[in-house]
Amino acid sequence: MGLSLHEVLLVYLLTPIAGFLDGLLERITGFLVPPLVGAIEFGAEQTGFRVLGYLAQGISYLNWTRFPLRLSTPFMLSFLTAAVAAVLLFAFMMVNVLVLTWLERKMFSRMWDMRGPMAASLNNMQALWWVFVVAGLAALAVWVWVAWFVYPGEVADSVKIAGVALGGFVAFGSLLWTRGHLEGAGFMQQLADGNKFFLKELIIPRAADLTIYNLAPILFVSSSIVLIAAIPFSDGFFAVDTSMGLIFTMGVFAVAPLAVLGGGWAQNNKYTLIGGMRSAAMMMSYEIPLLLSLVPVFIFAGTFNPLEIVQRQVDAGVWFGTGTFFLAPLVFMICLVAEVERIPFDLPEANSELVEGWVTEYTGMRFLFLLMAEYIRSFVGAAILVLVFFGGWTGPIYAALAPTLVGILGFDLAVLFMLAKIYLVFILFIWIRASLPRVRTDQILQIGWHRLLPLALIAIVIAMFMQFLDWTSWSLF
Amino acid sequence: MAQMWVSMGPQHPMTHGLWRLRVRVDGEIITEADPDMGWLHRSVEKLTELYEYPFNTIFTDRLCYASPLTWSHCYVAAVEDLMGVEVPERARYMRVIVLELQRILSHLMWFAAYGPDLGLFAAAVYGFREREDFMDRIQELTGQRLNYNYLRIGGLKHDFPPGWTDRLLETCDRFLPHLEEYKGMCENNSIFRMRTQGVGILPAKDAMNLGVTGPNLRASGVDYDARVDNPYEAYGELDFPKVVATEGDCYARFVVRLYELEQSVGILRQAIKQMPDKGKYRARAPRNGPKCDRVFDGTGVARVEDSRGEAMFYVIGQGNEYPYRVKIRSPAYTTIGASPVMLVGSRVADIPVILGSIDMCIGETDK
Repeated sequence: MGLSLHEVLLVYLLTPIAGFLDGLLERITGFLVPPLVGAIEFGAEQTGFRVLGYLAQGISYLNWTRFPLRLSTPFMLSFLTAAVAAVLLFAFMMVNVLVLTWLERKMFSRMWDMRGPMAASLNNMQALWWVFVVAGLAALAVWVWVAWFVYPGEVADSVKIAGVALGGFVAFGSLLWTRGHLEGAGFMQQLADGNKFFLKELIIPRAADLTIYNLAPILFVSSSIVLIAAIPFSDGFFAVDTSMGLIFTMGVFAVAPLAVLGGGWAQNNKYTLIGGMRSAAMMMSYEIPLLLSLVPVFIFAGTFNPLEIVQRQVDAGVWFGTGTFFLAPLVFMICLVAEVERIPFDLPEANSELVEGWVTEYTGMRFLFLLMAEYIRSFVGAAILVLVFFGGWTGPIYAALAPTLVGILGFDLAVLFMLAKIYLVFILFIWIRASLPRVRTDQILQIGWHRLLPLALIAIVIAMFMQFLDWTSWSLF
Repeated sequence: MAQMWVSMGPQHPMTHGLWRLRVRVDGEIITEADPDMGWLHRSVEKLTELYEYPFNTIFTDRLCYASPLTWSHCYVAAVEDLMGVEVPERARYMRVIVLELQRILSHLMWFAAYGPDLGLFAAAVYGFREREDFMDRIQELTGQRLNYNYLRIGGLKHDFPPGWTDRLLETCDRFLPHLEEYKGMCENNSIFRMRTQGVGILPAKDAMNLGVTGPNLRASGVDYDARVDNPYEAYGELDFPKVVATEGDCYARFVVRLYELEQSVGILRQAIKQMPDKGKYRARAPRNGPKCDRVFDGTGVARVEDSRGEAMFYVIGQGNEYPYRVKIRSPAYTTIGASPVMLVGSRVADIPVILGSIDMCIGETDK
């Protein structure tokens, strides 16, 4: 096992930075605070303002050397590490969500024989625009510096004002000049859409239950982001190495229907109410086969730790997906589509009958984050599928390539291989969404209880037999 | 959960237009349904009394955005009946060709709208892709992509452009393989069948009692097609079978419309083959309609098979260039009256499936 993200941050990044910042603060306060306090006390004596005296007293207490709290203490370091790790993982997820949504749109355009997003991107014109904005502001600053400070009194006031006007005209005029057609495979459409949502008004229904209305998106989005905590992307890139990793992830997965139900109720809208109820009803149908289809992996690996599960697959030389003849991955995959609420199982937001389902009354950034959270959930679901059934970042192609790559680059590309597998699974999700209609609530219950649950149980039985027969030593696959 | 009323529309993804459906639901089960029409009333019937006979095709074109030609045809056929105008033979065949072309356009529009109702957006994209090819043909013919204004009392606005029928036949040849694609996407798709089979059943007896016509009636097993049973224009000289299904559910309605596309292509090919090469495309029509009295009838009526059912125009003359009264019978309006029969007992999720399958058009419904 390699170092976790947590350890890397702690050892290589945050400890030296925290030590440096502590020293800097001590130095600054040591140099600056006493003269400042002295100056203010002097002013208080001279003017007789008592307030200034209190101010000086207060500032002297700000002396950093008097505080026991340091950034480089173990507590503060671990806190900072967790915070920085969370921000990094969030940024990683957001980049992936941007790519996933772009990929989905482009795949749809291929599958549906139509044009996807094409036009929006930053092209030369747009780059030129930024050059004008920055150059205008820079020219403005230089002109102010030269005319007012370098040659004070030597430039006529009218010329000064004219120069300021010209620089301001270039800078702010460029800001207004947003003409130009754009290229770049439509990727910038994601940013354009984000920008659009950012500018939308947050409309709150008058009779909404405000507490739950505001809490539900936070619960949904934050529980979706927490999902990535226990997902390793390679043996050198993971946040938490815990023996309960998979159980934790599946548990957090099940939090979202609570948010959907609460949010659907709190919006005081009949469509959202039906959507929330559907989410609760659906959960009963897919959650059990979803967990049961993971049991074969636990039987094969004997652990809940995804890192160790991958390692067991490397040791055995086979993927656990083959152990049940791809039955367990199939059941898991279908349940996963229901779990992340995508077509054909997107009943809680069935937009042909329920307008937008349980998110109907959420606008602007709330809506955007709810939308993004679904892609995070798809991503994490695909990651679990790849980890437990298809060898994670290891595999035949990668095993052949890795020594050469390490030789050339000096580091391996396990994360990229893992991401490639995740994206392949996601493309399967896209394919399903592009070609299937939506099922009904009673039908998903039928599918869950009459088809998926027995299949998951059969997969468990197969796994027990295979393990009994010591299948990993056959070297068949 | 107690029962509650859910108001769907007038702005709702399910409605495909401007109308409102109130349903009382018990959880997900619909216990009562109450369609509320009239949100798009433009008083077309009254407006037609204010304009001379030839100009009213402007209004009748705008009755239905998905099939303007069939509606204008129904109007001009009624006025021809009123004035006793004999349409030339070539014009009658030309009319059959454009009417079937219009039916294909309308049914493809319905197919494209029905897919998203089920969450199958691919159908929308595919439907519009094929529709575009036919749109190009009708654009070459009329110069328009909507509200073609092509029909005239006594015939048509102008003759077909040279080579147009050949291009139309090529378009049909290109279209039929795509129709197989639709069948693969929908008929062979078990989720599609799960969603539509046994849903929204309209028994034949109810369908007849409630005045349902067209594909919706034929899907309930009633063997009635105005083109065959009450032939108009050149339909009597053409040989084509009626498309009938027996189940009366959404799937039957879907299948009837899908196979009517094939049937329309067959009629097009036959009509182009049998159409006389030479001849007038338009007969001269009188300016004034007759006066309605007890001696001379003075009324005109036309019943045609519109894309959505049997459309009827009833025109009363008053002896000058203006009609005294124009009555429109909209098939979609009577069909929506039968929607509670299909809806009650179904689930909320079935509402778009059922109402999509009856192919609503609000322009003609509210007139």
